[in-house]
Amino acid sequence: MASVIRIAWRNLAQHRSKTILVGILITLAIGLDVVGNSILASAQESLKKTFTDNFTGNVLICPQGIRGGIFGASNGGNGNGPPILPMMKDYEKVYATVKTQPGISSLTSQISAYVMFNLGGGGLNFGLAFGVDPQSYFKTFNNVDILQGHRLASGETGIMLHEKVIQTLEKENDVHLKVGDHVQLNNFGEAGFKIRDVPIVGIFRFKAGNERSFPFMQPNFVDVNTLRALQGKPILTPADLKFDTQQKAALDISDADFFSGSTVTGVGSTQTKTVSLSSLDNILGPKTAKADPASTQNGAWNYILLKLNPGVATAPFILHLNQIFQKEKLPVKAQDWVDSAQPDSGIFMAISFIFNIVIWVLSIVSIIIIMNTLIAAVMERTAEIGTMRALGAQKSFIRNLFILETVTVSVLAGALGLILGFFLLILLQVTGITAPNDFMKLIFGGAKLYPHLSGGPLLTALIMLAVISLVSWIFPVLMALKVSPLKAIQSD
Amino acid sequence: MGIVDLNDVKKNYALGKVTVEAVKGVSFSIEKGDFISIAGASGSGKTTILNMIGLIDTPSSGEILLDGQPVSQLKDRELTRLRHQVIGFIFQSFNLIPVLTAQENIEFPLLLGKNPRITKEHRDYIDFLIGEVGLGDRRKNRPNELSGGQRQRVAIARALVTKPQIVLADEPTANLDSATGEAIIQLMKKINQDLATTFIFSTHDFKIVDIADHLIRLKDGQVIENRRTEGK
Repeated sequence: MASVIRIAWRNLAQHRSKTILVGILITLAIGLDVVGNSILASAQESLKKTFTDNFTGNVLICPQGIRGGIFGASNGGNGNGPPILPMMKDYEKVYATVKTQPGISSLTSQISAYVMFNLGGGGLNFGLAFGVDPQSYFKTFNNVDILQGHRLASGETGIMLHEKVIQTLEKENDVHLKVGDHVQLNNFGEAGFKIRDVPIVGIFRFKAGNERSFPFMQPNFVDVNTLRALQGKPILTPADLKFDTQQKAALDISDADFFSGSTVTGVGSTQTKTVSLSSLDNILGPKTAKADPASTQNGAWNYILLKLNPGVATAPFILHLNQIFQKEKLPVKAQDWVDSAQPDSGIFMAISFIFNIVIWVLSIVSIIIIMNTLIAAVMERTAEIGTMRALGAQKSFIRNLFILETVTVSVLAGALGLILGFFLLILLQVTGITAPNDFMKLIFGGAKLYPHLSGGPLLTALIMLAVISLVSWIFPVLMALKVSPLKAIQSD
Repeated sequence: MGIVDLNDVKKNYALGKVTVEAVKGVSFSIEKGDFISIAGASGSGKTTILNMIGLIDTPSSGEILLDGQPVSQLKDRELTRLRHQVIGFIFQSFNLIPVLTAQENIEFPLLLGKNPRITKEHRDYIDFLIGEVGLGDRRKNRPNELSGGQRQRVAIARALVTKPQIVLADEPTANLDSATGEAIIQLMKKINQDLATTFIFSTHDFKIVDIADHLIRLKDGQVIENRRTEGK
């Protein structure tokens, strides 16, 4: 073996231009892979932390029909406006079941909906609203800094607006908004046209790293009953409400019907009655919840969000929950932060996917260049290989010789690539990568990302190195093995 | 039965759609210890015959026997083993391994066997061969630092290092000047006498044919003369 090593080393030195070319390609491919994947892995960790700490928790439970996450699920609308997401059936049973599971540090419930702000200034602006129970929500997600006013309190009717939403609303409607002003929220989704007037209780920004790209994507916090009412959903559980036929009929109309003074058809009756505003107020009573939904856990919700204790593995926990839901025939599902943070997480995953495609395309190009270089090297060495075969070298000797040359170049260049990658990562750890925009701030979990090397990118780099080495060298080695001893004579 | 026997050996090559008969039913026998010249003009088939005897090419028909053993049915692995153990090669273009020194080139065949180690006995024999071919002061030089004659001397020592029964030399003087060529042939003859190794060499230079003690003359792939000579 020592002789094979000696010949292999000397051949590499003899054909140093080819060795250096191949080595540089492998070094660059591995270095780029290590740095790129480390940046992506670090960004993914930051993104995960941003979302699990601030928006989604570790586990999200939602109705089985919901596709996507808390920032606007991808369920289609009815053509008139944004979709109304299905509310969780058997919410109380689901909540009770989940709450008894070990490993949960905190949990809260949420409704997500897109609403329209009508400020009478000619502009109508979409906005994302989270309907929350403030007490449990802000205990679970300590994610806002209040700039003006106060945080929404339990049982309080009102809206907390994101500072960028305020800026957009002011610009679009040519108004100045402050805490205490009222904004009109409209919703003309599947449930018909709904209007609610709510006071601004606070103006906030998300803590560093929580910003989303566009103002309309910034979540605003609304008391849950206002959001339920906008969606035409019951404020309390059906069991809490006792209506007669006339009252039920009145509840079936939309606010648009009401404002246009249309008639209401009573359920089970062919008669029609005109309903006035005052009589409807009498029927509905005060449009506030009878009790704090957080304390009773009653009412309609889209999601239950869970934070797990440190050290509790998320995937097995989700699997366990889904098994329980299936066994109990509860029409809900548990999912992780990636599904819950759509479309943001999806955009990031797409970026990762595209980067990996670029890396693998680069690898394929490297393989082709390396393969061509090696084929040329084998053809140059045909007489030498033929001579070795004529002198009694078995094919295994030739194979070992070329594999050793392969391994030597791959290992050395791969190690150099890893060192290069480490070096660049150390530099980036010192300088950090500045996020160029809000979306990147969200992905980076702050204004700068400080990437570090972890097992995943290292493993990917090693797999890539093995693939490049194997694929690019197999064909030239097979060519070398086919060289006949006659080539020793024919080279004369 | 000689150390090499050829019985009605033919070799055809396909050259496009045409089949070329390079060797047309050749039969002869070579005795152990012969210093034999296969002579003929270019294209007479001498290299083809040498290749077949050296087990690096196979006959289209007929049989070749090495030390009485037919070789036509042997697999590549067995042929390679026989080449390593029984045959030494000297090539027209020397065919030294460019990255190895003169001494390492001579050692190289010893590293191809089942037990690739250079023993004390090997070292002594290599020193002896280096002395025999007169390369004592050039053993650390690589081929590109040697003259043509010196390279061929390295090739001769390499061909002998495994103590083969047969050494095949395909036009060993073709790339050398006449004086060096004659010196090389004389060296081969000396080793043939000292070690009793069978030397088979091809040449189209009739000046060196006379040194052989057995001459086989070829023309158009056929033997036209097969005789023992006195050898100079």
